[in-house]
Amino acid sequence: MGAVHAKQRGKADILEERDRNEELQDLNLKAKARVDKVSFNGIKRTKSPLLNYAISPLFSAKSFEEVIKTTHEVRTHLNRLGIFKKIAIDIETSKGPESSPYGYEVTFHVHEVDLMSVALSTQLANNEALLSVRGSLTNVLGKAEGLRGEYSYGTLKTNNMALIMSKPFLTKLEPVGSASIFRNDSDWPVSGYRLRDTGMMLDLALSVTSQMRHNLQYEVDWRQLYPSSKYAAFEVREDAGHKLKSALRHILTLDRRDNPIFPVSGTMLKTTVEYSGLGGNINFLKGDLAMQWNVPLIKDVILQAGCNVGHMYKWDESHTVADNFFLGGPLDIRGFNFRSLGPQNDGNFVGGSTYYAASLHIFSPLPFRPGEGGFGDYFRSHLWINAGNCGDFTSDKGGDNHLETIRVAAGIGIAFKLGNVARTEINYCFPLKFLSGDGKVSGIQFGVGMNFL
Amino acid sequence: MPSELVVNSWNCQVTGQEPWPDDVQLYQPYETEQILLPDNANCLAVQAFLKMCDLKYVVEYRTNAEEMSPSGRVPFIKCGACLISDFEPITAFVGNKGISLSAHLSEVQKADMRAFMSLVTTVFGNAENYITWLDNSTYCQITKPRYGSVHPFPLNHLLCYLKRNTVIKKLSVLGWADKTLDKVYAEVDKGCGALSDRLEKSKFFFGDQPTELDALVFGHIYTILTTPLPNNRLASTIRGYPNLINHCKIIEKQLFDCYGRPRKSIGWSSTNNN
Repeated sequence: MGAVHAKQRGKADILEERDRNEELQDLNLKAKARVDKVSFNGIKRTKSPLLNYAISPLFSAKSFEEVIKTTHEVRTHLNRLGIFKKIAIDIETSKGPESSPYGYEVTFHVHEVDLMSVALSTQLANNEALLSVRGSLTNVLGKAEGLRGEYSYGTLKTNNMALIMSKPFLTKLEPVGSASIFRNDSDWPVSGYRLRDTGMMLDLALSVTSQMRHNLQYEVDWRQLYPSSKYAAFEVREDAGHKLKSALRHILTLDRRDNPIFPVSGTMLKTTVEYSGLGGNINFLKGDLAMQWNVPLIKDVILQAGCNVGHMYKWDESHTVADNFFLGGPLDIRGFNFRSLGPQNDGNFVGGSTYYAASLHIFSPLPFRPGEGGFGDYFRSHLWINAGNCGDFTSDKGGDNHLETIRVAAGIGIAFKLGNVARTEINYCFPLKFLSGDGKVSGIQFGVGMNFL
Repeated sequence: MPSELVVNSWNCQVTGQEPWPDDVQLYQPYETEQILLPDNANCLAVQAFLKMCDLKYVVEYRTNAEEMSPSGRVPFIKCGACLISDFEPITAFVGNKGISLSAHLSEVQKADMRAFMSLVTTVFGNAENYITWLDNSTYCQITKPRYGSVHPFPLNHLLCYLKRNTVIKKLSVLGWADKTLDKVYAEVDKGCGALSDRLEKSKFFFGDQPTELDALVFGHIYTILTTPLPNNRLASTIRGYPNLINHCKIIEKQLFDCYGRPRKSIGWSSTNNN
């Protein structure tokens, strides 16, 4: 087993230098090798069982190439735990009385994340500005546990509060368990209701590979739904009141893209299956599928195709308007306002049990490449066309002709990367196929979000 | 917000001038397993009022009638696109259509009627709320199981607890939360005394035609008399006033038959201004 040494050594600049040197190793990769000793520098709180588990693959390396490769994997694993700010690695031939003939010593120079942190930030999500306060305790007991509290206040009456506790388990598939309690307020005047969700969620994340992840979730949600105004559709008003949703969810994420915001190549697949009805009084089975393909055409011109499909099986009247699928808005069907296509009731968009949407984009850097290699890399221009429909497509409701009422819009715009998590788009939209009651946008539309179609 | 209210009252006035439609619905909670004493009294009062006016309506039972209501109180009626809740706004809405039970009264009598109506709402309404939510045995044996019956665990306990807090807060603002049970019964007795003195030996409070006050008094007294409670002192207090009981019986006989089904109103026609 690897010994854990806690030495007080290593400054940031040294770490960076080592980082670079690590890549410059030029040795006979096939040479026989074994790891004699692994040590850590800069450990303050992290406990040895966690580190021992993380580095255990190193001791089975047989050649120098394997040593390097496993070292990299260990580093990725340590990075994923989110308890180190910086990780640098030294690999040296082992010396001393206990060294073996082909022995190496691996030293990890790490900087632990501070125990406590508080951050105040503003963010944009779903076309709403949010002010959020976040406090977190990282690696409290030395086994990468985390406790996080978040509160965000939005300009459109979206209020979110959450307290999340998470803990990784030291077994195969790197399971991470987390438990959270939350309260979310949201207001959807276009659909005629206000919603308050209060509840808790248990989540188990399993990483099969670095690209493939399963999430198993259980959620209990006390829902308070109120008509957003006196003019809300009566059908929406009939759903007002208190409901308890108790749901099991499975999410599979297979992300082979090289970048989540502006991918150049790769595919993404995400499926969600949700069963609600384990106790509580909302029953349905819901399936949702999202796919994306990215194909580089010439040089840095990329063709992107995306497709989202969802369907909900309901066998009684226990579901409410808030369970339906909604479509429209700058994140899916551009050229329409948020939730502004599909079934309507007294002027409110009430959503449907089925939806589908597809898009085709051609992304390229800005014309004439201003700021190339720097600021300009945060921008892309794109040409797009998207189409979709939403409703209850059963034959008795005349839904057989849903292909005739499909909404189509095309346009051109500029996308901008915000950090590495969100994207902003400014588009000029031309709605091509729409119905008279739709909230279409011909002209400039602005969109901010994390997942765009 | 103010502009919205103005527009809304204007809207209801515009639609208010149209004749009473055939598809008016009255929304209230389920009678046998859910509804509580104060809500039941209000629902019955509105039903009695509509029947006295000979206006057609259909009762729709909803477990979430309270949350559906624009004011958060039951009952409410849906007349076209208009939603109106509570006894007095409903009488005002019906009045806008030119139908009123008190049009024949003099100004003094009208003022009298309004004073008595406010007495009934204050005394009976608060006493009913007090007994339903603050009297421990009633709360545990009746209120909690009934209010929670339409919600799954653990919402049944949580929502009942929250509603109780709201009612206590409201009653303490009105100065009723600190009263003892005996004091509440004394208030009811005093209220009954005043009503009984006004009624004397006549059939209705104002002459031989029922008014809004008769509907309101009937709603409260009939509900108190017929609702089984762990402690029936409230009902026995009212039973001390035979002319009020008789008043209640007359209205019940003319409006509802013994199975609670509506009967075609006989004897009176509402005063129509048109």
